[in-house]
Amino acid sequence: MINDWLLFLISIMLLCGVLMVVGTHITSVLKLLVAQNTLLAVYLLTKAIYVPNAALFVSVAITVIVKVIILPLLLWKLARFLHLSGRVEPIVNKPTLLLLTTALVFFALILSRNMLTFLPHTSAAGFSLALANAFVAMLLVIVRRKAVTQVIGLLVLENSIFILAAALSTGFPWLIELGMSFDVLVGFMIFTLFLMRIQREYGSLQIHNFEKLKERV
Amino acid sequence: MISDNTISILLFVLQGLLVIAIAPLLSGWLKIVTCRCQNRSAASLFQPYFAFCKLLIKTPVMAENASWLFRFAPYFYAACLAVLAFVVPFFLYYGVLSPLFDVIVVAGIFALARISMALAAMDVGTAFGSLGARRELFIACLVEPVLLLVLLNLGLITKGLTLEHIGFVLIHKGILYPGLAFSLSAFVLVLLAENGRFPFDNPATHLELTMIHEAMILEYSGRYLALIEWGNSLKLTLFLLLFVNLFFPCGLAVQLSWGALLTGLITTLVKLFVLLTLLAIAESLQAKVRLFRIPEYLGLALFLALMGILLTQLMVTQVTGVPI
Amino acid sequence: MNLIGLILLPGVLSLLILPCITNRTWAGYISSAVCTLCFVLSIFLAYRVYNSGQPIFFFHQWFLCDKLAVFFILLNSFIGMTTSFYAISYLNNENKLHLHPLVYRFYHTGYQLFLLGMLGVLLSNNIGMMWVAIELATIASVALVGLYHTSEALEAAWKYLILCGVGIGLALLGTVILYIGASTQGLGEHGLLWTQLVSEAPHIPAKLLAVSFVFLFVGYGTKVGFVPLHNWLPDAHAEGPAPVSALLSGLLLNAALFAILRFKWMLSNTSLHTLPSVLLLIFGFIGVLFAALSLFRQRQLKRLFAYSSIEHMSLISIAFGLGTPLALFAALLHMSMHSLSKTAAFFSCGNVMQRAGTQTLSKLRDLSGQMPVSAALLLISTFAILGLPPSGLFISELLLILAAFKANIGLTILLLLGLGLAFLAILLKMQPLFWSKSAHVSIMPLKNRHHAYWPAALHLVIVIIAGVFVPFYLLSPIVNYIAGVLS
Repeated sequence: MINDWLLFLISIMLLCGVLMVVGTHITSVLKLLVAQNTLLAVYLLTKAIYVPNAALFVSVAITVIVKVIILPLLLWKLARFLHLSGRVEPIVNKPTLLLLTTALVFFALILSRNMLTFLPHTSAAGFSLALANAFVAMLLVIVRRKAVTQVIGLLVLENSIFILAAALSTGFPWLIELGMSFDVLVGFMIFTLFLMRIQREYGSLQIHNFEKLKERV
Repeated sequence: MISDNTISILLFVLQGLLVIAIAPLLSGWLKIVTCRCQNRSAASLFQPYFAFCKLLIKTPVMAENASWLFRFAPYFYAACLAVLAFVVPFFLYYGVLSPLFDVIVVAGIFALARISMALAAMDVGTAFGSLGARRELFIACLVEPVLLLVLLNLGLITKGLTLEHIGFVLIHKGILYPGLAFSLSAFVLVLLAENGRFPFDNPATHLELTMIHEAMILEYSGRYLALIEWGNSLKLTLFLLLFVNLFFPCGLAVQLSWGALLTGLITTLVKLFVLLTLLAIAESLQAKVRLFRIPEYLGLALFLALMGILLTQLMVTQVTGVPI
Repeated sequence: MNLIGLILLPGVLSLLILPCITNRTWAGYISSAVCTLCFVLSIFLAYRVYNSGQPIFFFHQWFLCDKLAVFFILLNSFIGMTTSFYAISYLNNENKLHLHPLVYRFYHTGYQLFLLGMLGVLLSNNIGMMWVAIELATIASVALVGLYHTSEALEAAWKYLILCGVGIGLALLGTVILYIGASTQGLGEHGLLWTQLVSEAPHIPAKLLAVSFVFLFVGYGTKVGFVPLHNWLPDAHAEGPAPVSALLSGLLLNAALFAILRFKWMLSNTSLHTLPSVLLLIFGFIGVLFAALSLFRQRQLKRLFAYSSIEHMSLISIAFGLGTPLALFAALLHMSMHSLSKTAAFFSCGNVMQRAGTQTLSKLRDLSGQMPVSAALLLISTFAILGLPPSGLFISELLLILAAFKANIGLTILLLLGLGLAFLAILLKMQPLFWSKSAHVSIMPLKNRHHAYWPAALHLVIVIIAGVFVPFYLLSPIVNYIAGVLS
């Protein structure tokens, strides 16, 4: 029963990933990202309650704070700051995109089916879905022009790697730390995007350019 | 399997009649919530019944060149949907005709109802009639495969195609299958498209050029219009019942005790009202999209349904235990 | 104290000290001093590892130093040392207004972080830690590439960041899948250790290993510069300052290829031992031909050398793909010689660019007349990269052709074609620089010449000596060690 629920959670995460690929507005893509991260937190919470383990509770807390709250907030601020028109059209049309997504999910499922004859079936199913999510994340990075959605694609890739490792019954010893360091990379990317925009808008990073609105005494 | 004596058959027939009777109530509730969301005051809950009575009294006015098809179609439409009312689960987990009609026939009867309306719309020869008919069939040819794929996905998971078998397996073995999340999203889009809701069609529009369903019934009046309106709300009810009782079949009665029946009735009504509230909120937040953007949404629905079947087929599930 | 811990210590300490120092000259000298200390320690480490037969371990077997790693560490620390000295005079000669203030303030910190990351990759036994080290090095080098205050530099840094970020993500996926494979053999905590993976690899299911290797190859291969994924390389080299280009070409590409080699080594006892070789050969040949053809289209000095880096890395991967001891020897020699001569080339490019103010090849003329020392260094390093004798690259390319000839004659023909095209392209592009008539570009003199010339000269002297007296005593033990472990 618990395993079914966990598998169902992973499949809803895959659904969020697929919907992100065809989303046109940056706000909808961000909301789907937050939904996916929340589902990840729920997944970890369920596992932590089911198999009581102090480390897992800590990891749930860290995940919730960093992924559900901080990172989407940063991305949201970035999207507002960049004054994006809101529309992030993919570079190919939607039916082609959906066909590609279906083909990739199919490929991931077939690949993992051949690989995993020795794992218990719920772990194998979670592995296949997480691998499909990873491929969908790659697609998300490739088919967009805007940089913010590429960063979102990397976050989805990280989510899927996290779920891939968490779906194993034995667990991954340094998974949280690896995930956090990948988040550091993504944080650095967001920082660079801010810098790029400042550069383009103001031409330089001189502080006196930011003081136009100060009142002269 | 519930025992087949007279009482049970009577209960099943009662279930079907209840579905037919409740349909305008649900439309009324939908209207109330929509009006509340838009900060208007709404008509009473039973307004559709009053409208039905009002239309029954009036004399129908028809064009001179209207043939027998025009007069016959509303009865046929209402009859098809009424038959389906005896198939879908309401408070019991299957209807009296469920073992006879499996999911493919259900989809087919919906199509039959739609065809009769489309033909009748084109019968009189007005511009708006054929406009509405063409658009309705355009949406239909995109929506029907999705409906079939969703229902077939359920059939694949439960290894049987009748609603009775599907309901039985889902109640006893649980509803958490990976492919079902995808089929659910696809079914939501189908529900919106088939019943002419946002973002596919504005059910309250008065601009003829943007109408899809309303344009088909522009020529009808009197008792014909009354039947068609009842048929529309019945169609919405049927889709909603399929949604809540196939994807969330908790609380449905599996045996014929009074407690189980009452629980089934109350839970189904609660689920229906909650779903209608969500539908009304979603409608108030959206706008109707232009006609040529409808294939985008329906393409999405098709691929979601397809992925649901992919996930079901290519992954090992708890029920079967072996790869399908 | 364990030598591995000792060699990591200066880097870690400098990371704590350097951010606090505001005076750029002091920071530069401290950074150079730390690098010199690292180099001296690496000589001790090399001496120890070469003499003993066994690799050294540290910290619950998370760090490993065997003969292959220590050779790279020696190379790394040497190039790091000379680059840090060169950077002192290079940054001093730059017009400070052209530099991004934030990056300039933390230049040396970023440099030490990068070197620490490289050291971490070379020393790590834990594949998770290897991944974190490469990520750290990526972040540091991205920051450094964005040193100049132009929007092109920022765009180049962003392109580098996103492409390598995607590559790193894929590498993480491969690492996790590999760990899943290891955990099926019940390894648990030790499943991340490379030494354990090598011994358990024949028992891990083959398909799992194959999929994880492909992900790791594509992920780390993005950083090596394999051809479909190489887009970040020319921009990062062209827009970054000369010492950073030298770092990227000389150190980062080597370290990423080293990571791939570790995984290739891991697969060598299993049924999949041909998969890495096939992948390396395919990507190597595509890279050689693509880079050779692209070289004809280049118009800027550093971009030319960047494509030449791609070509050389593809040659090295062909050599590793061939796999015979002769090819291995050629590959190791080529890696070291390429690092040394490419960094020397970038140093001289930096000098030329600072004096002439432009990178465009058509505007640079009559260098021998106007800046004799820089031009001489550039000329000799170009000859070294082209593979003319007595450069060490000549020996390694000759050995590579011999090894390819023994393997398959078709491969040899392709290889000769690629080498020939690249030779022609670089020679065609570089030759007009030195002796044509002057192109009326104003030449500035260099303010700080203390460290501008000797790093490049030192590298070239080593390359030429290695071309004449091939260092068998350094490289044969490594080849024997690899062959011995594998058999």
